[in-house]
Amino acid sequence: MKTKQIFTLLLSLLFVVALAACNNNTPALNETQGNTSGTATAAQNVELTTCESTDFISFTPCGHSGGFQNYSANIYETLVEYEDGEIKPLLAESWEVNGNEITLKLRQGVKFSDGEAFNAEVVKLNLDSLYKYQYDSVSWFQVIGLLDHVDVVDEYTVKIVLTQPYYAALNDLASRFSLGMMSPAAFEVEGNPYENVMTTAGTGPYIITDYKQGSYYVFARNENYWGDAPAVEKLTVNIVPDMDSRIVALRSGEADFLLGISNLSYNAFDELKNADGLTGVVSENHSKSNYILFNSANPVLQDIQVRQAVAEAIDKETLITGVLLSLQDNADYMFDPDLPYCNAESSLSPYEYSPEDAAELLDDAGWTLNSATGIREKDGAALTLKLTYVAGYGSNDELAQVMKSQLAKVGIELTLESYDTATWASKFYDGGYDLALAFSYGVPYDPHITLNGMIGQDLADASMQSFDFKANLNASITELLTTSDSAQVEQLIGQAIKTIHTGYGAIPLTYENELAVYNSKSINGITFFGQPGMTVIKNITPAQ
Amino acid sequence: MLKYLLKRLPGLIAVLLGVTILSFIVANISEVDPAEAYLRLNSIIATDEAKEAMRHEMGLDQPIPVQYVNWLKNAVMLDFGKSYVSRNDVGHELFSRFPSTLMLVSTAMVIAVCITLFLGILSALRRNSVFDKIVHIFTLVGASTPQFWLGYILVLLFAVHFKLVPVTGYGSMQTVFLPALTLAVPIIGTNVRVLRANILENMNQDYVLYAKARGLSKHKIIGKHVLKNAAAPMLTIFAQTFGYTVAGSMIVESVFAWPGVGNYAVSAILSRDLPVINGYVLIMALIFVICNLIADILALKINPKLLTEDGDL
Repeated sequence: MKTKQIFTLLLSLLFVVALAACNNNTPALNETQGNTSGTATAAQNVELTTCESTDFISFTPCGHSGGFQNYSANIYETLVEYEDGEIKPLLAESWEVNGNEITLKLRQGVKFSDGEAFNAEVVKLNLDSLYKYQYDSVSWFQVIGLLDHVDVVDEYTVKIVLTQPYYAALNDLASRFSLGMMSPAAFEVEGNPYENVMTTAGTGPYIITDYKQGSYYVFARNENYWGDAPAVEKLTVNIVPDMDSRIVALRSGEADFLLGISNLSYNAFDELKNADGLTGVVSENHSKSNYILFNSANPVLQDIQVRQAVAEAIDKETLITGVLLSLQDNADYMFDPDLPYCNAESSLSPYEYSPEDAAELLDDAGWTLNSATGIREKDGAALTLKLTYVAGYGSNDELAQVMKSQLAKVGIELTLESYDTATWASKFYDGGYDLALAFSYGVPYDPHITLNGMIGQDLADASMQSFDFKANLNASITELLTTSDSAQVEQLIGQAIKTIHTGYGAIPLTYENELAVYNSKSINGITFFGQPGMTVIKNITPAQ
Repeated sequence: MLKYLLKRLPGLIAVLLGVTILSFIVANISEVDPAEAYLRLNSIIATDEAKEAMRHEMGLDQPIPVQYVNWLKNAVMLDFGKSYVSRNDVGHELFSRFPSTLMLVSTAMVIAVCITLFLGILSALRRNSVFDKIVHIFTLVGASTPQFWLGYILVLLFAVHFKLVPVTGYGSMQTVFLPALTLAVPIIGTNVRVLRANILENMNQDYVLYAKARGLSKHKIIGKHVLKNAAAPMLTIFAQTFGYTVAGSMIVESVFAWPGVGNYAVSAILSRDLPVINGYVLIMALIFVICNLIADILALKINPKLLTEDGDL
């Protein structure tokens, strides 16, 4: 009897171990691998898988950054599209800007994935609802902030009337964040239609057909899509918060690609780009600028010579090759000169790296080197500056360390403080920093929304508040918001940028590129969308 | 027994109150104003007026003790407020993720119990043999390996090298195997030695000598008598471990992208979603306390002599 009991125990043990060991003949797994490693015979049936760090909260075009926002372009389309600095047709085929009025001719025969027709009434409904429900969160899009009313001229013509002319109204309309058009059915809910959206009804090439929150989301072709059917039939997005797990998933063939800096660190990209069966790609265009902001409330930094010395003491070449593995490009100006209206920048002379000049400037400013400490002093106070940054974001930690050693060479002591994003922003607005690693809003918001922010309680606005050039800068940007004449716009933006540049209001560091790594077995190529971190499934060319 | 339970109850409530008060205080000494963080998270310009209005809406303009009492009143009714990030009901978000975590932890416990019994009994029977020594090393390493590292090693081995299981995913027996094994290894590591020592201790008892004298076979003695006495205390340990593992599955869930409460809590912490954090802490404390209570009750069932007449342990 007792032997029998032990025997039963051992038998059940064996059973559990066998069960747990999950033999490799189980069909379910092989099926998944078959799908993901792209053994597709025809492009029409390609199914791909990727990993994303942040969970999707709601399928709303107005959500938080990250997560669904990185995929919203597959679902919701905007009236116009921004591509390489130009506005191109999308749901609107043509447009005419007349002072504060923008008249758009809409594409005909477009249907939402739920079968509803797309027309001028729908555009009006979308814009009016954004104004009504989301004003607080999206009024920094001046096309909403300055919205007076929307006129339905005829079924396929819509007129947007603003309270004053706005030169970048079309750029605003091109933003996938918030301005993607939702089906009229989405507005038939009580309360705010932009909250807790759990169905996807857009005009884009895909819809979400299946999901489990925190785990996966399946994008499948929208059968009602007005354009050519995209090559990839299905994309499964697995939510994998851990960077190393994402890398392992890509290496094991479980994921076909990883895209964007939030999913793929520079070190990971560098490691994977030449790995067996994997291909790494970097975008040609830049998606945003990174720069250092000064705290103008600090009397030490109010001296332009000190700011200039900091700018000249930073060796960007070393930062880019050493820390950023050459995956970002050197930035001579606050905005990439290729951006709209930023051409005038190239007439400015870039800040040159020269520790000798920096030392001389500091000597002139009265900061003398204390050879015992290696730190400059003036009236008994040491030249110690605090650099704050968001910990763990990109290569911030390493960048800060290298800058610290570079500034030490000219006698500036840099202390480093890093925080999570919320604490960093909070400290910033409380003035708890001398230098801060910051960045622009990126395409398609550069330069206009980043510039608008400089008079709108933004980071740059707060940081430059007490500099003597701030009044001039404010004047240029304020004037910018009253004109739609492109020659004048270009002149005013040039003036604003020049004011910051010659006033050493910020130190441009780098322009960011987009990057992706994919399995060559399943994917032939990925074209970048241009907006940071955005995965656009129809831009993926599967392997035949 | 009832007397004992009644005596334990105030203590349990005190522990729960203590935990929630602590988590509330820790959340409130943070440098970041939740109202400001909320506004920025929703890309609303954080003017002083906007912050003031938001503070009022969130009840943050009231003294912390008042905020705590208000929160507690609602929490008792399982209303933990709304998430700052998703604006969904926190209770709903947490409970909808619970089955995933329970599935993971239950599987881990089944693996842990089976392997612990197997290794514990065998190494006791073959005391000081090569097998016993190997098990000894395994338990030592298993108990002291950080789980996230162990997770990666297992992934590398089973998912990348042998391609037996997928790295990520959810639902099937295959996807639960690696994370469950990762959770189980430290449990096995700690408990095999305890079980082995219990068995050996019992082997020296008089009743074993008596059984031997009665001419019972070694297998019978161990199977019927020793194991029963030696394994009983393990029940209480495993009950305690269950609570501990539910709360401790956070890191493993994160490594394996397991859509459970732990993973959800990690993202809530990163985005300073205070209602979610407070709700999570309370529920975890509750599970922990209940599992400990079950462990104590099991101990009493096994050995009622532990209880004094006054209902004390």
